[in-house]
Amino acid sequence: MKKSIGIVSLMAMLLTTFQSCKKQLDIPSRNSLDASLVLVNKAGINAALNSVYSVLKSERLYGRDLFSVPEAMADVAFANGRSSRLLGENRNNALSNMANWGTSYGALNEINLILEALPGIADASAAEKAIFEGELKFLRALYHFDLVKSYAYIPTFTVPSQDRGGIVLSLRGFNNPDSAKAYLPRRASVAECYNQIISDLYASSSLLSNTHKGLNYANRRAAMTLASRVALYEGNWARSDSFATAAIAATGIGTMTTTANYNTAWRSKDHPEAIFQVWYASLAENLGVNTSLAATHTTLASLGGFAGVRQGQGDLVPNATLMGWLGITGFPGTLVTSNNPPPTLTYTADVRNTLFEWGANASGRYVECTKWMGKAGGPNWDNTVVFRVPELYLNRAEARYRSGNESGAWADLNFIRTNRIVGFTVPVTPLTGQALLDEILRQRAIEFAFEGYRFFDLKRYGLTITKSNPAVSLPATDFRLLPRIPVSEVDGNPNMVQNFGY
Amino acid sequence: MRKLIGFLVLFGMITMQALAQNRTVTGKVTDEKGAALPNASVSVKGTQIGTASGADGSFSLSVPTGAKTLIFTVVGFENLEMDISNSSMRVRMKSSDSKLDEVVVTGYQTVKKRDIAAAISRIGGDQIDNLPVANFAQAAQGRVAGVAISAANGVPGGSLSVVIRGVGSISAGTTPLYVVDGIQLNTGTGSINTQNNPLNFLNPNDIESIEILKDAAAASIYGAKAGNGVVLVTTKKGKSGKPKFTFNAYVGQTSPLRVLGVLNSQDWVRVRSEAVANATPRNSADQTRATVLGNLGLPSGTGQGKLDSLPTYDWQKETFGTGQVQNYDLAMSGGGTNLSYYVSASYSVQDAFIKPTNFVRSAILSKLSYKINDKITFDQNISLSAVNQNAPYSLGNTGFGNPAYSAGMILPINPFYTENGDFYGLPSSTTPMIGTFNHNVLAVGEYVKYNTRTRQVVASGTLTYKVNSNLTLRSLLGIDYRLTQDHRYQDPRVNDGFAVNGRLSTQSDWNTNFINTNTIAYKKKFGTAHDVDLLGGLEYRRDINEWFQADGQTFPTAELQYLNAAAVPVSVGGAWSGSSNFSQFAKAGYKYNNKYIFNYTVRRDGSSRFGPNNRYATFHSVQLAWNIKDESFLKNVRAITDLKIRYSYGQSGNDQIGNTLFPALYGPARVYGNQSALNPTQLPNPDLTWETRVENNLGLDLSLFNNRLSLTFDAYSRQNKDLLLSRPLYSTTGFSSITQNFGTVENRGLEFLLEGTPIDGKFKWKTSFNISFQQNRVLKLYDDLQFLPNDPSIRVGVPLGSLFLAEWAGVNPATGMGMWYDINGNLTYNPVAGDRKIIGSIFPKAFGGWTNAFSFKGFTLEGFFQYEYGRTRPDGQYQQMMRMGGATVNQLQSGFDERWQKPGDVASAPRPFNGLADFNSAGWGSGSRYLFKTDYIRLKQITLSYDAPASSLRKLKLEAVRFYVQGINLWTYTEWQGYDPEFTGDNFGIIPQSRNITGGVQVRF
Repeated sequence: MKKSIGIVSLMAMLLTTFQSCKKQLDIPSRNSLDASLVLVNKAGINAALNSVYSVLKSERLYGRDLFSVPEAMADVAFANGRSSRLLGENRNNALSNMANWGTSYGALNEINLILEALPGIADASAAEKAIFEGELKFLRALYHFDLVKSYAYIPTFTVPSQDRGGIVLSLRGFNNPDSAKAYLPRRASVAECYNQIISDLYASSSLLSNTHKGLNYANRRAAMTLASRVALYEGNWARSDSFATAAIAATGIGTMTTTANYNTAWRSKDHPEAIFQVWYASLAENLGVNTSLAATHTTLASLGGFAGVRQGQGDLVPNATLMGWLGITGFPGTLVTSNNPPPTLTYTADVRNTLFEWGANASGRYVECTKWMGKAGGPNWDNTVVFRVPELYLNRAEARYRSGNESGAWADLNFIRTNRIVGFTVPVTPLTGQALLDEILRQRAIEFAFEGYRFFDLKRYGLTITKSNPAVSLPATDFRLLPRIPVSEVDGNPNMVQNFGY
Repeated sequence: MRKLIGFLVLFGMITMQALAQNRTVTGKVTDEKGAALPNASVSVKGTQIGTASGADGSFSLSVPTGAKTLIFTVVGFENLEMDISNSSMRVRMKSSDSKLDEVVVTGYQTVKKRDIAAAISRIGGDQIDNLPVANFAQAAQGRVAGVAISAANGVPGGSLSVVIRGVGSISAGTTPLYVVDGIQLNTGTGSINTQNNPLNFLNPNDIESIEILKDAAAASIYGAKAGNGVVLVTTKKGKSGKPKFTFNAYVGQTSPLRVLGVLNSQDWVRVRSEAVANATPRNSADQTRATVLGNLGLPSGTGQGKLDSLPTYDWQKETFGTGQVQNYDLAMSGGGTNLSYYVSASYSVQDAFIKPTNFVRSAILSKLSYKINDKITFDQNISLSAVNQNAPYSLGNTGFGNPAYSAGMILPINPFYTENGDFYGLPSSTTPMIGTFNHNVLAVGEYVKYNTRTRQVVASGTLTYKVNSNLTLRSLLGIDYRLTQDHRYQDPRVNDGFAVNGRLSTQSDWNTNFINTNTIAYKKKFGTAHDVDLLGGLEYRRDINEWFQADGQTFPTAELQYLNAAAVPVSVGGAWSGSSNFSQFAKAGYKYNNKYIFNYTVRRDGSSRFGPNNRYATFHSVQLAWNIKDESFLKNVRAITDLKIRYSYGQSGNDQIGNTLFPALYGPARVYGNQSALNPTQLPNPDLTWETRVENNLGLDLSLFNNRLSLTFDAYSRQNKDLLLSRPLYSTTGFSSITQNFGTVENRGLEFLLEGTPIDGKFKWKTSFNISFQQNRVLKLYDDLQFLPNDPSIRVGVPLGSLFLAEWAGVNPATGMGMWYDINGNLTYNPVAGDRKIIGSIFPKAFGGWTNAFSFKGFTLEGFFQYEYGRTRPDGQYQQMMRMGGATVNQLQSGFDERWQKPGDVASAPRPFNGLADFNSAGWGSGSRYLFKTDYIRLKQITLSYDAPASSLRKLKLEAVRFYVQGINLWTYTEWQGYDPEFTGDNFGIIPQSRNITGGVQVRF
């Protein structure tokens, strides 16, 4: 009896095992979705589009690098080495530069995959598809532009003997391993890159409405703002002027602030001047205590809290040049003090300097930038603004100056100064010539301090980067102006050319 | 033949007790010295009647009237036949000359060592008894030729790298398959906090033996799971007889192996001043001074006198303390006619020397074997374990609060405590810690609660049905279930939790690993010379992992440390992942005249991890052996006790890759605007399949002079083909890589195990030495590529694990700047990618161990050396501690002493430079500057023990008592300059190995 129980149970086990094995070996992922189920309806397109926006949050892009790295490389900031971050960039070391290559191309491929799938989506109307296309083309232009401005010379200033072309334009989606393996990308020329970007922006600005889904998403005004900047970099002054003018007229999203509300504007979660921002919607999305914009630029836990506890790293602080432009005096020549209280600072009437104050003591205090202070509701948690309204005026001022319209430039410049300097009166004698351009560029550096503009302004004018601390004098012909294209992108690809000097 | 007799005898014991019996024979079985031999099998020759001796060696057996001879067999002794005498028989067994009678577990069956034809190493449980380690793999370190075991760090119960015969895979796993009493373990870990090694569930003292199937032929029966070798662990089991107890207790202390010399406050001021001056040459001396004073948080008017009298606090010494080690276990075993049992309970504590990291295990092992009737046996094993670990701050990162990382770099002017005795420099205080490392790591050790709980059940039921003496059916149902729970509370009083008023991450991770194995075994001797041994089986395994995690922050007070008290929920997460295997396997063994051994195995595996086009694979092996000693021409050569040569060829596979790597997937990890996002995460590859390992092994077992000297030698050559590699793609495709099968890696090696008893007598010296030489190289990549585009260190013709960097060329005496060699051998300050070359490998060329045991009158002194040669590793910790005032961190005294100060100085450390990388120069840690050889010889273990004499114990009714003291890592020879050469990874902030001293007692009764 016992024997037969044994045999029967053994046989039963064997049979069960045999029966079920085929099915049991099929265990699909429950954490990810099979690719064939995604880009087939509106919900899938929406989710895929969200991913493309989401990539902008990364440290390599609008999480930190696109703001802080160019600033560290330019002539307005000092990396104090508290956490050793941005030191190499501040010294313009060869391999310390922008590094947005890989991250950006991942997003670009997603854009192209969605664009290719779009015509076949049954549950979206033609109008809805047009809006999707508008958002995607804006994003494609933005990703491409941030790559080309970093990895290639800017058309307004090129060192021809060192020019290795633009970037790889990503215009098709890869979802098949064989084509991905066979792909040997080639750098397009700089001109081709700018043409592609502008053409995407033309499409986008015709497909989207002014405000669209608000400042956290692509919109027509953002597309035109980007186009005015792209045209400025390209040296197409008329186009820059006309896009800026159109964008200024395209109200509904982003309002210029004045001296009265400039400071409070920077204290709100969504900057009133923002035309397009990268949205960190929840606390968990912030980049944390090391690399968020707040942590990078300030140690302060609260405004005026220099005597309180230290919160961020405060790695990148304004140098004497920038403080001079901002109109701040009273700090020591070495920028650092450990006295408590620190020396009293004196401020001029330019409201933009109200965003700068003494930081907490962390191996000494520095004057720090408080543009990012965890305004979204928690430490290190800020939305990051990609375009603000004043850029339109400064773009246009420069475009007008360059196309010979000095009076127009002068007007735009004073529009900015009037809104930024308490009691500003327009000088009777307008600035002209080089002095006018210098002032436009200086206003750009002040207005967008720590927002990632200055380095590219120097780069597109071929200006030498001069800093006393660290002691750097980097002529625009130096190869270090351009980053190295990741070695793995060049290795084994006969079509790919590395940047000069690497 | 002996084997067969053994089996028959066992059968006799079981089945024939009920038969007619006429008279009773009694007696006692002893060894040559008269010590009782329990569990000796006693049988009547020519029948299946038999019994076993009791704990005191005595036996009593009813025998038929006509019976004349009894046969006695004991493992490790020569079989003995004695005529039945009327009086009580005194049976004195002679210990076996031949180790070939040792029983070896080979996977799904056991065979005598004599019949082994593949490369299998065995560690007896007694070799690793009472070592103060958390698991058996760590205990096996250095003891097996060809198996490189290294601890990742000194975290008690932490992870180990166990590499059998070199690394044969580039991106798939290199972990061997662990099988404990027939259950294939899941070797994942579920903790985000610490390393909870899945092997920790078992108290090493419960282990009977560990067999390591090293060559592909031996492992081949495990098919696709066996590509990295197989480790079979067999726990102790009950033997019939009176209950026997073994009690072990040891206590001891752990302490750091090394504390590195760091600067006092004055030297730091000096090096910092030089660094600031060098980096800002336009600054005046006053400006430099002001900067340094600022860095130190001192007022700008501070005078030299004040600087000269700054106190120095050595944070490293204060943080590196001592910890305790404790272990208590009690095992009971025994058995009667129908039931035998082994039950043990143990409690074990191990602290790291940096607080509060520790490991506490409570474990119970219960093994019952119930004989339902003569043919059917049911075995039940249950192992329950509860492991609680205080996790270290980090397992090796550059977190400022990580004491293992930052203790040596906190500026020495920071006091440990305030005048009130509170921790100094807490973020809530008005006097923060000065310097980059601004966390009071003593407070972190005290306040922060990072705990990991692991609860594990490894259990099985096995039904064995002996249809007849030749045919056995067996079915095993097993489960390996593990729950790991992390509680990671960042206290609001310390820097990490201060800004948010405390932060808590919790995670629960369940792993459910189910296995069913069914085998049929047939053994029969045909005629006098032909032994046939057949095995067939079916196996199904399913391994499921599920976890969830929740984070919250903002706690009302530090006393409230659970999520209910968190005001702000931060994030939640969770996932499910599973895999399954279905396998069929068979073995055919044939032995002619005990001399010629032939085995063939085959296994067909199906796995859910592979693409539909390649879901199944088949693996074969052939093993041949020749027991030359049994040939007539050697039979009478007395000097040679045993001689066997072996050859094997085998295949096995490696399936250690992610569970769903073949389909095209979109992942949900991203989010934008509180809306879910989906992004493509991998390209499809329906052809994805196994890595295949093909290995030839040639082995020799030689034993001389009655086993006084024995040698085991193996030579192997192995190729791993179809390597699962992530083939890099140009990131302009949107993907960085795709997992594919391509590439071939070759491993070749020699392994020697030399064992001997040079002196045998009252004073005894036993020695065992093993050494392994390994060579590894990549033979082929895809598309005739000479190196992997994404990882140029992987190149054809060079070993895996090669370090591919620009070579450090020392300090320029003129400028004090660090230099590197470019590819043409010229000096440069800025090495570029093209200047990289192969500099060493992270895997050793040779390694092994050497044990010596000297015993005299109950005293035994045993020393075990472990050594490793030819491995190079970057020392991240050392690098960080050589910042030369380039940042506000303390640093090594040696770097300070050897620094460049003025033109003409020939120095090994470059000039101090604020910000680390000198003007227009590569980073201070670039290239090979911080690569060092980890070669070492280490006295891993030394034990002095005393066995109380049997005579005095008898009165106390004890069987054996042993007292011992033991030291771990007491002495090391190495040129490594950092904390310790024994680690894996980049050595950033890991808790190094410790020195342990324990004293203990073992009592048997």
